[in-house]
Amino acid sequence: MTGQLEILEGGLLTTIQDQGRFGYRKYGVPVSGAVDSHSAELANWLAGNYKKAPVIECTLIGPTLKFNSDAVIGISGSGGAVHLNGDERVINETIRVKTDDVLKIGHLEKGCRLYIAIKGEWELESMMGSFSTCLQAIFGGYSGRKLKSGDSICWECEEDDTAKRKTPKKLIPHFSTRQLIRIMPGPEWNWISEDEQFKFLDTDFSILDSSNRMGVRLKSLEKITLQKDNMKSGPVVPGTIQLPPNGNPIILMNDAQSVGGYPRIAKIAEADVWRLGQLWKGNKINFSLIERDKAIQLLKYLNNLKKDLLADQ
Amino acid sequence: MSTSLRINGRNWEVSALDERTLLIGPADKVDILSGIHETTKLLEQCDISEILDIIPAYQSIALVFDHVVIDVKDEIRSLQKQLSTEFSQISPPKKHEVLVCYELGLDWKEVESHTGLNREEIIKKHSETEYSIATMGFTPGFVYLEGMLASISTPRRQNPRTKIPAGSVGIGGSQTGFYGLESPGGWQIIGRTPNTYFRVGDYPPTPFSVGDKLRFTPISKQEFESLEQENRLS
Repeated sequence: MTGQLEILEGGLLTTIQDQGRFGYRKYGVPVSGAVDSHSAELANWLAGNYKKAPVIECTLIGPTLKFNSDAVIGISGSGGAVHLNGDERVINETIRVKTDDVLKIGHLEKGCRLYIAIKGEWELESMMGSFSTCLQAIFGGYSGRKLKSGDSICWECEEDDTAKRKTPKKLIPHFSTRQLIRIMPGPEWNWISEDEQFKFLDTDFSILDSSNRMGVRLKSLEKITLQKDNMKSGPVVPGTIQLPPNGNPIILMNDAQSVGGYPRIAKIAEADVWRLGQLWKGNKINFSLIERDKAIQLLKYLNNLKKDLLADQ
Repeated sequence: MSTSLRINGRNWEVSALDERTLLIGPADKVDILSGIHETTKLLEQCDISEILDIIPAYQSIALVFDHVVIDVKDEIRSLQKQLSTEFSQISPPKKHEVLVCYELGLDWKEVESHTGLNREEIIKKHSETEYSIATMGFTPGFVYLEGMLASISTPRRQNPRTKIPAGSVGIGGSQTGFYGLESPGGWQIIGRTPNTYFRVGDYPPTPFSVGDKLRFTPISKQEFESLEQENRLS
């Protein structure tokens, strides 16, 4: 069965993403992919898709979609703005939409990203091994760009045999305006003095609205100063915290470069990296320093929790 | 945590960047960049399926694994085994010629006044050098070159441009390089190549690899325009 939907309004920055593009960072091609990969995974689970299937990533103001066929969909992420045919719709459960239904995603309220999965195999070309949109190089996803009105997404779907699923409460993130993010020391952690390290861990950082898919930009009242800054460019990955000479840290995200010249003072634990995908202006974060072993434990715990709770209900 | 790996007669210090990424850097700080390039090539040739990404930079290489590296020493031991059985000849670096129209430079005034040289002298120095491709990790297709003559070094622009045309050739401090795609950037632009070196449909998307040799060949504006048109038609 072929399904189709049409984009009536594109929203602010609506792109197709999956769990990322690997193997091309040596050519400067970013990983891309859903910045809140956890919510993207949950949306796919609700729709009965595999984890790495493409999803629609909405940012701050979502799109309006008109379904030209029945579909099984999953919506996860920042809620409060989802309307189906004019009525507010609960998310985090499998939703069956009918032909001619209109799904409108308005202003996201608590976080800044929402993910929509549609059951089936989308008619999209995988580019360099991924469906993710690479905005800088204009490829992948939907012609390498954000979705706009008039675009349509088509998919092939077998019979609707998906049992209705509900996201287990334990896996739904708490969208707090203040978050504690766990970090490990980075290769240049010692480029800031012990006093500055202490200050870094004791400071409230605000999120700047110049943040985007490349990086989350932070600001604090007291700047963190470097002891030296003559670094030769080194490898960076999403979740790397760079400290430029102006003292305002940048957390690199999915669309960031793969080599960078600012000191890598810390790296966010993988179990927390996806949380950054929901942070926006007005949110505050603090960092807590942990050992790498602890970060591995946290990741294992999260993955085991998902494995147990997302086993077919 | 630091532990060591031996590749191609060189010792590499290993540290963890995060749960699944290891950084390896040469223990011996001699001729670092060519060591990094050779080792990158060897690692690529071994085609180890658990390594998702190999990211070479100036002083280290990141190895991104598809799994969590619980014990760094164990991982290195297993990596060492796979390397020693697969040691093969390193293919020699490829040589590339990149055509540049220096007339299309945007920052000649700054470069001339900073270096105290005139345009012809700068072009001569810039195009007579054989460069090595150092790394490509800034934006898709951006190529950093090593080997520029110090006499034409020029600091980056105070105010970076928000848009630089694809193919722009620039000087950023002691480095030179070119932009594969239209992007923002702070380098002093001294020319432009009509050719496209980042094609998403190709595998790999660029003909360049780190360690390759590269030379610039000056072309006129007329040649640039006809080549650009040819490229557009094809």
